[in-house]
Amino acid sequence: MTIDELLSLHGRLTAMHVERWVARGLLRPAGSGDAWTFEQIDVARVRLLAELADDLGFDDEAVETVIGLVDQVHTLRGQLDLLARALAEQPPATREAIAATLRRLGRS
Amino acid sequence: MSDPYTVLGVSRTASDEEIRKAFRKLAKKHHPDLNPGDKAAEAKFKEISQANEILSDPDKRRRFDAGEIDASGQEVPPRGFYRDQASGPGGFKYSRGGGHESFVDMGDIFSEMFRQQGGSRGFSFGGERPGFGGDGFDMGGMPVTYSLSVPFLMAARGGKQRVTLPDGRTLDIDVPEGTADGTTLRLKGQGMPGREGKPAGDAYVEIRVQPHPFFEPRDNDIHVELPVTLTEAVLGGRVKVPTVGGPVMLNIPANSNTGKSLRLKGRGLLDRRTQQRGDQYVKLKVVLPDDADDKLKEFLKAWEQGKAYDPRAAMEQFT
Repeated sequence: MTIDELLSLHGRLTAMHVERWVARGLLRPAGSGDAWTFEQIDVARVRLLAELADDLGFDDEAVETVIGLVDQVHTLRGQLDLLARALAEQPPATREAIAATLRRLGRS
Repeated sequence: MSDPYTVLGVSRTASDEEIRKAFRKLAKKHHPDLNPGDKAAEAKFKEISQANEILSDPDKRRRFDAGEIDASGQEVPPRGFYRDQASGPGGFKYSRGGGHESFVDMGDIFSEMFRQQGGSRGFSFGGERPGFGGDGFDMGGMPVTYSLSVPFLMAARGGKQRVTLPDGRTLDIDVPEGTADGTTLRLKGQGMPGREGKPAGDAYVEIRVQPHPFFEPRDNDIHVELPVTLTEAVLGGRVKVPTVGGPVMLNIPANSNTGKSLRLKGRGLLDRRTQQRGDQYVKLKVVLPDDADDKLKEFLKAWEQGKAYDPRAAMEQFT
């Protein structure tokens, strides 16, 4: 969607908010300048950024830190998920051996 | 529904500032996007938001105190969170360390990790769809991804498409109204069977929408070129126009030229997120009969102005 459609979805949001987030690299719409297009994930991210700033009262720097950590958590979760899928493809004996190792390492 | 004062942990005489502080403190702790792996965070956050919705609004707070509304009267509409997107197929966009490449790198990191831990030859990291799959190490069945090509009108209107899976099973896939090209549908439990009684994995079906001979979608709007007769263009009239929801009548104003665009409001595609419908834009194209009869020829010979006006005049300034 365009920036106008985005702004109409979020009552309190202004173009200035969006431009600032894009300028700081927190938001990466496709296209450039006047013709940004926002995908579903960008729209959801805008809502989160707005909530962090307005509802939760984080200042600009804190928002940047928080969203950076959120990105890292999702990246790690994605990697863990891939690892889990790779494990699930292993023969049962291998998976049981890994599960046993995990239990052993988890205890120590 | 719990008492909003209890939910936010403030006294009944708390000031607006105290309420705002209490809400922020709890929201920071329980916001689902700050707890991506915690499914319970969503319910907790909803409860906090609902309490704040009442207590942060002086009028609602007064009415709640007076017993005019109860705590459950302020239903917060259901909403999605960023984490739903970030863990979906598009989630790699904001992943740290870049786009697709990082998943390739990651295979190396994990292989390295396992080599160090005991000489395993490494795992296969063939997944091209990050973020899906069973939770943790539950050893459920593997997810499977299919691609399905559906006719334009079925994606626009919604419908059932029967498919035969590679293993011979047939499946009726519910294509929801307004399905966009590239949408991924999740079919719970239709992936690979789980081992030792564990649940089967999910199947993901990526929908490819086939192009239509004349409906041309752009976002949720549909563009159509509509042939009209010379008579309809000059004198105007009502004509039948096909739309994805069936034919509708369109008024063509008198003196409408080729290229004139008319809008049929709300006759476009359904936006699944906002539940609003796009528009259909109809661009007129004047079409002469295949064989101009003698009457038309005679009329045009006698039509003085037809010899006087120059439709190509505007082209000169660009040459």
